[in-house]
This record gives sequence, C-alpha cells and structure tokens, in this order.
Amino acid sequence: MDTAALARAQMGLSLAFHIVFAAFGVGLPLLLVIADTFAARTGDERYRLLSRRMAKGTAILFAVGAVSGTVLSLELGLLWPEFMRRFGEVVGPLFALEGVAFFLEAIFLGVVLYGRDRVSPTAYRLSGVVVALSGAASAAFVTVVNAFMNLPVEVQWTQGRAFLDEPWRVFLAPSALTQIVHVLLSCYAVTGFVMAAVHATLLLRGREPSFHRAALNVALPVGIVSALVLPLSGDLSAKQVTKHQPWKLAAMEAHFETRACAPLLIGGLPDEATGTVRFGLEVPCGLSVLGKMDPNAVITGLDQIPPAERPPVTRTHLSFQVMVGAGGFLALLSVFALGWRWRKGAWPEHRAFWWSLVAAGVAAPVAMEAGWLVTEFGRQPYVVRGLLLTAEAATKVDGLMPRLLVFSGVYVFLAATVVSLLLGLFREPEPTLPPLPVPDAA
Amino acid sequence: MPLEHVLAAVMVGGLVLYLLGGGADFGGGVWDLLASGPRKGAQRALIEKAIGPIWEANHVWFIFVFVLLFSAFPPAFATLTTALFTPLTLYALGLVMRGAAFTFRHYDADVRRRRRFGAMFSAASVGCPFLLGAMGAALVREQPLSLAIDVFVVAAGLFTLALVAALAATYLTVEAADEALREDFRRRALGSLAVAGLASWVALGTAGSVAPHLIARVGQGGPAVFGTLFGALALALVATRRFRLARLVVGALAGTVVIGWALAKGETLVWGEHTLGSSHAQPSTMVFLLAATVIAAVLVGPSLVFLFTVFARPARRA
Ligand code: HDD
Ligand code: HEM
Ligand code: HEM
Repeated sequence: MDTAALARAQMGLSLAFHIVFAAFGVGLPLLLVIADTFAARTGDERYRLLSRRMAKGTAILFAVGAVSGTVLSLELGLLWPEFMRRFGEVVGPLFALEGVAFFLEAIFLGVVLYGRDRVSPTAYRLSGVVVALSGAASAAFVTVVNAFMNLPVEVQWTQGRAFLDEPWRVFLAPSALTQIVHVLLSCYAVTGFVMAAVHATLLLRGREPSFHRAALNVALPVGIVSALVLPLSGDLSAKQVTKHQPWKLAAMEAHFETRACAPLLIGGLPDEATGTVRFGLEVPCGLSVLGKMDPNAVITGLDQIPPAERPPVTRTHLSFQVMVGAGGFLALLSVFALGWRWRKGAWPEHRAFWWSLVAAGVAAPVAMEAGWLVTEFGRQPYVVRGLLLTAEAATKVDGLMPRLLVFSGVYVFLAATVVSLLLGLFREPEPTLPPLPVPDAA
Repeated sequence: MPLEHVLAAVMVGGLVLYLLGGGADFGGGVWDLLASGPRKGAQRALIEKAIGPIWEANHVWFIFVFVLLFSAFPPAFATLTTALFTPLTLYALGLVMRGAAFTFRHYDADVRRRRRFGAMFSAASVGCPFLLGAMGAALVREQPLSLAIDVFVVAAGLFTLALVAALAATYLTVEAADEALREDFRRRALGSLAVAGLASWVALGTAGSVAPHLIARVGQGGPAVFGTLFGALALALVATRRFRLARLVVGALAGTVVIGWALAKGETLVWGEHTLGSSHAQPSTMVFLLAATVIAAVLVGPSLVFLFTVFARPARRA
C-alpha cells in the first residue's frame, strides 16, 4: 500500500472505532436521565439499580471514547497535514466548539459518576441533562465538519489557505442539518438497541428477569422512536444528496446511466468496468420518486461525472444497501413491538422477540458504520469535495505500516477489555428485587 | 495587542492549566509506579481517589491548546505535526493507554489484571511528561525542527517528569488523611523537587549551544530568577511541612516554567519557518476563536468550580 492508502486505512479504522464509543457517549447519558426520572417518579428500586450499573458502564465507554477521540485529533494533523494547513481555519473552530461541549460533558459526567451521594437529587439529575445535551452538541459540531467536507460552503482564499469572513457560515454547509439529525438519531438508536440486546440476552438466560424487564422499559422506547424516525430522516438525507451531491447518489445507487424514470436498485453487485449491475432488483421509476418526488424526474448517473471524480461504486453501493437493510429491519421490529405494546399494554414476552432484540443490537451499530462508509466513500476522491484531493492531503511521511499495526493492535486490545469489563458488570451478585408486575394480556 | 498575540497568550494559559491538572495526573501515575514501603497500597489508593472524578477534565486542556494551534496557526501546525510525527504518535499512544488503563483498573475485579493495567497506567504516565518536555525543548532549539536527541532535550524531558512528580506529591501531601502517608509524600516531594532543580540546571547549562536566544531571554531575565526562587521556596515549605502554601508555590513554579518557555520562543512558532506574525489565521477566524474561548470560560469556569467544590466536601450519605 502507498502512504496515502495507509493513511486512509488508519483514519478509517480510528474513526470506525471511535464512532461506536462516541455513539454511546451521546446516547447513554440520555438513557441515564430516563432511568433516573423513572426511579424518581416510581420510587422503584430496579431503576435506581439500573442507573447505578449504567453509570459504571458509561464510565468505561466514555473513557475509551475520549482517548480514541484524542488520538483522532492528533491523527488529523499527523495523517492529513495538507488538509489541516488549507482548511484548519475553517474546520478548526468547530473542533474548538466541540472541545467546549466535551469539557462540559466531562465535568458533569464526573458529578454523575462519582457524585451521586454528594449532591441533591435535583442537582444530580440536572447534571445528567447537561451531560446528555453537551454530548449531543459535540456530536453536532463534528458532524458539521463532515458536512463541510462533503459539500463545502463558498470559502475565500489567502496564501493557499481557505477561510471564511464570517466563520459561523460553515454551519450553512448544505448537508449540515440533515446530517446532524440523522447522526444524532443513529446514536440514540445504537445505544437503545445495544442496551436492549444486552438485557434481552440476560432474559434469555433467565437472569434477574424483573430487573432486565425494567431495563427494557428504559432502552426500548429510545431505540424504537429513533428507528421509526431514522428512515424519514434518511429519506431527507437522500433527497439532499440527490439535489446537491449527484456523484454520491449515483455511487450509492450504482446508477450508471443518466435518465428519467430512474429505477430504484435493491441489492445487486455493480461492475464498475462495464457499468452494469448483476443480481439486483429494480423498482421502476423508484429512484426518481424517492429522490425528486416525480416519476419522470431525471437522475444524474455516473456517466455525467468525469471519471476522475467518480467515487468507488461497489463499496458505496454495498454500504448503502447494508444501512438501509439494517434500518428496515429495525423499523419493522419497532412497528411490531410498538403495536404489541399498544394492544397488550406490555412488551412481547416471547423468546423470539428477545432474539430479535439481540439481532437489533447488532444491526444498529452495523447500520451506523455502514452509513458512515457511504458518506466517506461517496466523497472520494476528495477530502473536501471539489477543493482538495485525498491523495494531495495525505502525509508524505514514510513508514506508516508499523503504526497502523500498532494502533490496530491497541484498538483490538481496548475493545476486548471493554467487552470483558462490561460482561463483568453483569456477573456482579444479583440483588434480590421484588418481581415486576407483568400486566396481563387483556 | 495584535489578535495572534492574544491567542498565543490564551494557549499559554491553557498549557499552564494542562501542566497543573494533567501534569499532576501524570505525576500521580509516576508515584503509582514508585509506590513502596509498608503503605504501598494506601499510597496507590490515595492517588486513585485524588484523580478519580476529574481525570478526564484535566486532559481536555491539551485538546484545547492543540485545537487552537491548528485553527489559529494552521501552517505552523502542519509543519509541527510532520516534524514531530514520531513523538506525537507515541504521545497519542501514551494518552490512550493511560486513560484507558486507569479506568479499566478501577472497574476490574481481577487482581492480576488490575496489576497489569496499573503497570500500563504508570508506564504511560512516565512516558508522556517526558515526551512533552522533550518536544517543548525541540521547539525552542534554534535549528530546523526535528526529533534530534541531545543532552538539552533529554534534560528538559527529565525536568518535566520531575516537575509533574513534584506537583503530584505536594498535592497529595494536602490530600492525605493520615500522618504517615503525608510523610511518604513529603519525602517524595522533596526528592522530586531536588531532581527537577538538578535537571533544570543541566537543561539551562546546555541550552547555550542549541538555543542561544533562550539563554539571552530567559537566562538572565525574570523566569529563571523566579523559577529558582519558587523552587527553593517550595523545598523550604515542604521541608517545614507548610503543605498548603507549598502546593501554591509548586503551582507557581510550573506556571513560571511554561511562561518562561513561551517568552523564550517569543515570536517564533517553528524556528526558521513560522512566526506568530507569519502563520496566523485571518482576523475573522481569530475573533471567532476568541469569542469561543470567552464562551468556554463563562460556561466551563463555574462548572469546574462546582466540580471541585462537590468533591472537596464529604459525601452526604455513604
Ligand atoms: C442506526 C443507524 C442508521 C440507520 C438505521 C440508517 N442510517 Fe443512514 N446514516 C447513518 C446511520 C443510519 C449514519 C449516522 O451513519 C450516517 C453517516 C453520515 C450521516 O450523516 O449519517 C448515514 C448517512 C446516510 C446518508 C448519506 C448522507 C450524506 O452523505 O449526506 C443517506 C442518504 C442515508 N443515511 C439514508 C438512510 C436511509 C434511507 C435509511 C433508511 C432505513 C437510513 N439511512 C437508515
Ligand atoms: C464527523 C465525522 C468525521 C469526519 C470529520 C471525518 C473525516 C475524515 C477525513 C479527514 C478523512 C481522510 C480523507 C478522506 O479519505 O477523504 C476520512 C476518511 C475516512 N473516514 Fe471519515 N470522518 C468522520 C467520520 C467517519 C466515521 C464515523 C467513519 C466510520 C466508519 C469514517 C470512515 C472513514 C474511512 C473509511 C475513511 C477512508 C476513506 C477512503 O479511503 O475511501 N469516517 N474521514
Ligand atoms: C460523528 C462523528 C463523531 C461523534 C458523534 C463524536 C462524538 C464524540 C463524543 C460523544 C465524545 C466524548 C467521548 C464519549 O462520550 O465517549 C467524543 C470525544 C472526542 N472526539 Fe469525537 N465524535 C465524532 C467524530 C470525531 C472526529 C472526526 C474527531 C476528530 C477528528 C473527533 C474528536 C474527538 C476528540 C478529540 C474527543 C475527545 C475530547 C477531548 O478529550 O476533549 N470526534 N466524540
């Protein structure tokens, strides 16, 4: 691999790692606030215990999120010096704002994790709210960086460096709003469903059933609401992409040929050399309808994009299929669970349902990772679309291979340790709790 | 004052706070490694308790300075990260291992694994401040920025290491609840202050050949005088068990070191390539960054005070 390819591999790996912990950093504080609110409203010991256990898990995940984020900020400079030199002035302030938000998050998380017995219950819950809000804010700020890279606002130049006369205008990057909404929802979906999956697993094993049912009461609403809204927000993202980033849409959909009444491709293996797709299912005019709400709308294909500016089609398309497939599964499961709850007043009690929750706990992070790959691959070959090529931005320093291996090793080690520690949390002695009344199915 | 100087001053302020907070955390790791004697376990417990709630907040200062550097002086940042690629990568690795291992140790029930995480935590705590000092030294050398190792760089690294150890030890003399433990850290404070004094002497002694202006600016000027004064005063205060005062004076010493370093650099950001004047961002960006800093100060300042008061008082209910 050449240096640029190694730099991309290392950046991709670090981000793919960070995003999982970052998602928990955004979502878990919300779940904590909900659990604490339930505890305060009902006085139920289960929710208090849940909140205590979640606080420990949050501490572990937060630590890894923060250190991997710190590495990322170093890597931006180390691996992409030319990107930082040319665009540091534009994206830097966003990272500064993220830093402020993160600082608040870290401070109040200190109170949430270690201060339960030192502050009043109200101050405690307010701290939780601050943590949840600042986590969401820091995610929003970095997402704007990504939106700017996808589709930059107009910048001024001096000495080969971009800047903005009004720096806040970076927030006007066309895809900023749709991306922020979609990213935050995905963080909540991931946290909600992974937590639901953990407790469903323990229910399947028959452990502490009343406790784990209470946990589902906290996790499922968050996951379900997000999963139901995600396809809508994804649709808005797709419309935005259709309008402003035709190259990305064409790659996502493996849409080679510009035409009216463009079909929507489901599945399929694109062949970039011949511009054809095998094994796909086509919905006539589907893409025109979804993208522009008009069956006769013309959708730009890859043939209109100069070959040197085309994103890699296969990778982008497959990632998109994975996200939408997983998202569809989550949405269907949510409709089912919600319908059941509405009719019968409780979550389904079947082992099959618990198994589907376990599957959802895998599908949600997979969808999130795949979605990021869509955005990142779909932007290639540019770091900042139209302004700076990825190959130009990469470091010229040699010998990245050993570093890539070391960092991969570190990430594997961290991931393995986190998993083993989190499992350890559930091996703690089981407290005795009264059984949770299960409303009868009437 | 030109905007780029205001921003540089803000960054220096951030570095001072990083040294006082994050530095003391590193120092805690150093003493965790060197814990010894009959109260070995108690020493480690005290360190863990002192770092606990604020460990993450302390390291945000580093990100803060780093982000300001790349937003406010992007070309200098690009040169710097390329020239110091290896030590910065190692630093990143150290921060990861340290932060993760500290938390992992806290939550792991297995004694053997706890010990292994403890070793990782303290090894990284020794490595990071050393690298920080060495990079600081490389940045004031009057030669093309590189990792080249010489006596000056090594002495600066050791000095920083001893300084953070002294910071932690003096803080811990105040935190310690029992007399014997306090004496342990008193001895450690004295020892590390002495080593810091020695190393600073070697660093300044060798600075003349690699950084003549550093000597000119700092050697006869205020920072060296104040540094020596604070160092001696700190030794005396610790020796006579005036711990609360000593803590302040060691803090002032650390501040003097950072400010002295900044004065020595003066206008130069990367020797021979970038100065504050030549590499700063557009005024619009700098104003925005300063506004963000003010917002940060308004929001973060009181929150930090809140955090420290919460943990300064005993738990309401255990
Ligand atoms: C749980 C996670 C998750 C789920 C279920 C979905 N997505 Fe998604 N998607 C993401 C998580 C995600 C993301 C957070 O990973 C991305 C990457 C960048 C972004 O803005 O959000 C993303 C990006 C992304 C983009 C590219 C946006 C851009 O580059 O500006 C589109 C068009 C969609 N999504 C569309 C959808 C549709 C139509 C879905 C229908 C089911 C869907 N997503 C479900
Ligand atoms: C706000 C969030 C993000 C920002 C600012 C960001 C920024 C970057 C930058 C600067 C690069 C290098 C330049 C390039 O290849 O275009 C990059 C590449 C990459 N990123 Fe992201 N990224 C973000 C989120 C993510 C996430 C969450 C993932 C996880 C899946 C990811 C995966 C990748 C991959 C795989 C590459 C290499 C792309 C390729 O070689 O085709 N990114 N990103
Ligand atoms: C959309 C993608 C991202 C999201 C949602 C996100 C979110 C977060 C969150 C919530 C944290 C706090 C740690 C935690 O709660 O576990 C965090 C930490 C951090 N993130 Fe990210 N992040 C993203 C991408 C990035 C990128 C692309 C970078 C930089 C290149 C970055 C840099 C950092 C840094 C430096 C920290 C540590 C903060 C500190 O110590 O001050 N993040 N991120």
